[in-house]
Amino acid sequence: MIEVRRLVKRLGGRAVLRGLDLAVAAGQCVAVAGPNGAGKTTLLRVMAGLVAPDRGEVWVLGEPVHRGARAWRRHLGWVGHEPALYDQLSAAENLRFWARWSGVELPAGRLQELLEQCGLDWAADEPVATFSRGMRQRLELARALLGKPRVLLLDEPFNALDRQGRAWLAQLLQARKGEGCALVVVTHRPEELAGLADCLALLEGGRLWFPEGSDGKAPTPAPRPAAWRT
Amino acid sequence: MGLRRREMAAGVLVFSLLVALTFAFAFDPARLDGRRLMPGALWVTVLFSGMLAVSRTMAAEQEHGTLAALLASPVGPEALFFGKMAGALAWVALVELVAAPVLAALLRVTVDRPALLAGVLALGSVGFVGAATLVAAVSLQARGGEVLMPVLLVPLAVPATLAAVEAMGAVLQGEGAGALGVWVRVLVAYDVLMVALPPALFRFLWEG
Repeated sequence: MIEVRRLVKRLGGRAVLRGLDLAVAAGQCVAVAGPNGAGKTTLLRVMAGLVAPDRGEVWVLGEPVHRGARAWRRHLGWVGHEPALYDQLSAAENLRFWARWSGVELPAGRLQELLEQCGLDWAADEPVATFSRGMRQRLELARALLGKPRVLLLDEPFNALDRQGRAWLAQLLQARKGEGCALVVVTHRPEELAGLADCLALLEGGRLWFPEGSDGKAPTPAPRPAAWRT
Repeated sequence: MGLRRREMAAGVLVFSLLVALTFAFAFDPARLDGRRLMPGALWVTVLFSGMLAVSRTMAAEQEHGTLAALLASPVGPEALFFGKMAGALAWVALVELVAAPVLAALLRVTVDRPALLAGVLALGSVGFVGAATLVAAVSLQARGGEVLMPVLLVPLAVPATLAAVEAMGAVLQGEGAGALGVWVRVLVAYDVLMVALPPALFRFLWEG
């Protein structure tokens, strides 16, 4: 579903990603961890087609990300570092706007279902400006799930969520994974993904390292690191 | 979306009124021909207020973190350009609707051909807004972008501004099709360039 080949990306003259390979299959979740400035967000942005690579290729759902049609993006769910929400709109208006922008049809009841799923049905008509950081993050996740994506790229999705929220999100992502969605989750705290991720990839020195040892590609099916097994 | 930001609407409208009033009071309409003054005064108002509005609407997308999500969607960056341009055109039209009657009243100008004047204003606005949207996107990528915007935009908008001032002057002074036609052709050519070129550049700007 996602294939990254020999990816090189320089930012400000510094090679942030140096010939990086990664493969994520349907129904697989890869957690990407690493120190600050390692290039985790850059990797995610390249995979989402937001930044072009200097060398190498990224393929998502059999389509080259940086060439050709954009139709594959219909199946992409993206959660960036900051929630992509308009403060002056209500939660429901935000979801309606993003559905229209992305060409996603919202059948009757789908909006309510999404709001209920993220625990915000009671605040559907409240302006996002009044939301707490945790509520914004929940709505942001609802936004990313609007089109029932087959690929989810998430940058620190557990940020700002309380314990209950983190459990809710883990359950939600597990369900998406079970439906065959491929997930790449950038995180500072890989332990939060212990029950969810099939593979931990450490980004350091511009390359991905797989603690269990591999040939540079996430094994398919990827074994869960021993330390995570319960 | 931008029209929902009341503080921005107030800021842009107050600013445009202030510029219009400053011009109106700086020149004595009893001594000077208001029809010669009004085009320049109006376009300076449009230029500064429009610049303020366009840069804020674009910067707000980045501040809200919505820019990446907009670009990650199946819709191309071209749609974002046209969406932003349409929003900015609404702002500029609002500024013109407020500033033009104020200037006309204070400079004692009677508009005999309002439809023609509206047409010239529309042609000038499309080119200017196209250029402003492009420059706002470029500025967003640069450090200190909001400072960079006027430095880049003012020279780029010179052809549209000059042609719009001349065309508007020709309309207000009742000149014939010959004098007006030259400037209208310049405006049309500039508009075509500023509507066709930026969408192609947007992809390079944001997807590298």
